[in-house]
Amino acid sequence: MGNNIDALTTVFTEFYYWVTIPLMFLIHVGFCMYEVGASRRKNHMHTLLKNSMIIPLVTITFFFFGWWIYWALPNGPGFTGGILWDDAAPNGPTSDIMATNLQDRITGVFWAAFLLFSWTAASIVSGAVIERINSGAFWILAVVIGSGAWIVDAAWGWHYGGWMVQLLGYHDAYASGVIHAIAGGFALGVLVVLGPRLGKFSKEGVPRDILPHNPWMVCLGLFIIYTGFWGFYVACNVPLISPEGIGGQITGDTWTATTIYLTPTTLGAITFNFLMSLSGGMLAAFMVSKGDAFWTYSGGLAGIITASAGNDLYHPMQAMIIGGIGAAAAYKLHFWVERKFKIDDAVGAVAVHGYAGFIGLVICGFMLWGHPSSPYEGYAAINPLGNTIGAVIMFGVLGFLPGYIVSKILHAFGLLRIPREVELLGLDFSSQQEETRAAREVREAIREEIGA
Amino acid sequence: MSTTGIDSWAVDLAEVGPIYPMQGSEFILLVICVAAWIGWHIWCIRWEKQYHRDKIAKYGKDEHYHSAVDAE
Repeated sequence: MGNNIDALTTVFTEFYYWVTIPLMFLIHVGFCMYEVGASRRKNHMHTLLKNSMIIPLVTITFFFFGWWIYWALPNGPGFTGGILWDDAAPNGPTSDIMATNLQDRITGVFWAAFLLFSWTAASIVSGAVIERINSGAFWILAVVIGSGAWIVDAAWGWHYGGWMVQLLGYHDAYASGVIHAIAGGFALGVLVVLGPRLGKFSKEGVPRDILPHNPWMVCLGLFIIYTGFWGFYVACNVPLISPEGIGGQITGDTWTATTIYLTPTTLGAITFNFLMSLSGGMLAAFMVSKGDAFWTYSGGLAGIITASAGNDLYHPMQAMIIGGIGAAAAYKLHFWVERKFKIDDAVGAVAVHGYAGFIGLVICGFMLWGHPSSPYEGYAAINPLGNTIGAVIMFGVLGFLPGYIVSKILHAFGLLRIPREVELLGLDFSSQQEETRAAREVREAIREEIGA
Repeated sequence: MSTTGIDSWAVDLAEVGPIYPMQGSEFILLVICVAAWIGWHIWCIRWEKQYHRDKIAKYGKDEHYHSAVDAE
């Protein structure tokens, strides 16, 4: 910290990101609630633990190699240069700034903000595969997306020097693609190999409803995800930086908030647009789902996710319309894919995150056509083709393909799906039996004591 | 040519104002959004009325009233 202004800026920025972390923790709480609420009673505790164990596994692997990947791979490698060994080295697990260090006060907070995104990516996949995936297999998949695939996509398309930003003009300010499309695509890749839950489809292939055990908890979980989403949005910004700090083409000495690409925006913009896209999504989803509570809440999420790519710049009414389009499209696509391809996505994660994220990227390319993607010279401007190619990379190349391939490998070793007998009994069968036995023992003891 | 009016960031931010896309279309946007909002209310009232009618047609029998009261 060179002087008082530097010190104040550092402490403010440090605190700003630090606050986003407990807020984003709520995303995980919400995901756990809605996933458990959507599962049947016989699977509750396994479902809860399956998602919760993402926290330690993705945390340690993100420390071991995830954060290093982000700083090493902005060039591809091979698109705009090689591996950035020098940039990555300070962010590796053995670096002295990845610990208590009075010369660097902020790396740990940045690391954690990115880590919470990693949990989210893995958690999105978790809901889609409930009640029939082996937890051990899922946890391998969680590390693949949480500390692998998503952070590669972040290096490529969510870094001020990422090759996708430089060459394609890719713009995705609040992660329509880099978190949501990739996680939705990954979930779809896993689901294709995993197959549906027993009883989900009739012999003729007609889908049946497997209703949530606790619809109220599902909706409350989604409500909590909205709250956590604030933290997510806030964490996507640099709150305060000088033109000198950016080091690009901007002249003068007016400080600004920026996106991850260091392009100027305002915190007012994201506040407007978060709420208006949420509202557009909820209104549209209520309408297309005919008042279904689960889809209305999910539509709110889909609305935000669709508008997220350009929510740094949209007018709030544009965000509202885009949110509405995304929510309606996600709902329709979910049921069309379910019927057509017999995909059993238990919570609609592929639609709400994957399709809405993909559509949001394409819309953003048109809406922001020609706007500079970066404050640095020589970068492609935002354009429809670049963002559409970006959507394909996020959903297909870094999402669907790794999910499909790793699931195929796990399946080949007989590790992906739980045995049919266990699926019939329920994952919690033995603990439920134990609970019943223990309760009976206590009941009998009480009767004996009171002489009944 | 950019939809936001910003073609390059080689500018002094002190001299830049709105940077949202399609400036000048705010009134049209407002008309569309207000129409969508009012349309939503009209649709909602009609839908809900029909929803209740369908419910009564399907379940409006003594046996269902009794079971609903018993479940309370």
